[in-house]
Amino acid sequence: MNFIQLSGCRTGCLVLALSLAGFAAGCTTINFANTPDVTNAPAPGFETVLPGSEEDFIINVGRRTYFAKGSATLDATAKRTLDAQAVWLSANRGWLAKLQGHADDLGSVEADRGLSQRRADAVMTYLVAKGVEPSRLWAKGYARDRLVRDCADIECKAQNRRVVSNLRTEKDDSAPN
Amino acid sequence: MFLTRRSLLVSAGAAAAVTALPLPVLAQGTASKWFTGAIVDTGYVYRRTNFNAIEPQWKRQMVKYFSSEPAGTIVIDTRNHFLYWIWENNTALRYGVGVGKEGFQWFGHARVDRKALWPRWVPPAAMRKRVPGLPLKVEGGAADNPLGPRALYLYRDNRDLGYRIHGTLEPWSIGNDVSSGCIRMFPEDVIDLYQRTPKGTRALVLEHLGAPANVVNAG
Repeated sequence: MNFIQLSGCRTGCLVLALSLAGFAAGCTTINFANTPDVTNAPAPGFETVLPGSEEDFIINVGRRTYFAKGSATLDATAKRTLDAQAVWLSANRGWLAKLQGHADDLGSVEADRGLSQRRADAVMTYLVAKGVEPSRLWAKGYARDRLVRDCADIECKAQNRRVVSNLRTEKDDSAPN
Repeated sequence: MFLTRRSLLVSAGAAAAVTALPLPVLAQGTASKWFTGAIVDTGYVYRRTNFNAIEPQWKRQMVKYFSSEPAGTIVIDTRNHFLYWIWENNTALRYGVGVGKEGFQWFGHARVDRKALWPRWVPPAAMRKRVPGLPLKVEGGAADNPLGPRALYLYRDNRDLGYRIHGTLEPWSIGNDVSSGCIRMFPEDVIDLYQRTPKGTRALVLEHLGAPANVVNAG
């Protein structure tokens, strides 16, 4: 396993593959339509990241806001992430954002649904206060429908207590009219 | 601040000089190709990395990653100087890291149980022995604090492993093995990772295979 060689491949390999008609040693899975299925190859869509793109938002701002157990209150860390999101959304007005809340902290699915909705609502309220037009945002709670990991340990729970700010170009069925 | 030979070679002592300057001077920046201006972060200042001077593989990027580790895990590959934050669908956000002596002396699974903004630096006894003249401690936010704006502390079974992910004052050390510290990241990157990884985040430190190729020994 040689990650250094692979990472060095990203620019060099294409040239090599072209010159050797695909016989480049160690890069034989290279595919000109996609990046190869090897660790350290660029993820699809992330080969070139343009300012104002969804990939730019994902890499340079971050979509996730985290919460404490059972809470829908934004802490200082969450507010710093949302401050950066608000700046980016204000500079890139072509995007809408669906705010997807998640929770697996409470005793019942219905209670988690309520908590996940309150988390998404808290994010929306904060972004609006920071100048993002409310017409570009909507909030939906998913309860336990989309867990990052499902286990009783904090390793899983910490990941699941979150809101994901998902960029969209148009509203879906969950958006109010 | 402790100095590596690399910093002397590469920047001709510019970094050493600037750490002695007061913050307003720091904020104006100095004639170094490694920095461009300054950033105010939660009340303190750090020098903005000039990413035009950084090789592309050390910049934050989304890559494919094939691993049995679940989404949300931090994986540290000390040999190849990468830190991954695992996503779904065999992808990961990858950061370039520098690896200090303390960074390749432990491997295995751990958990981020503590995180700090602008951490105070208390050099471990072994490092003070190795590098004479180090202070007993450097306050968080001080211009010569080598941990920079954030630190993530790895624990196992509620015990602090002494293993930290932190910032750096020496962007040229990213991608290298160096004589001191643990896992160092660009200040911009350690801030980014701090935001993305809640307390309780799972971590895996891969074994540092083989002898480090290019340790710069200051001691």
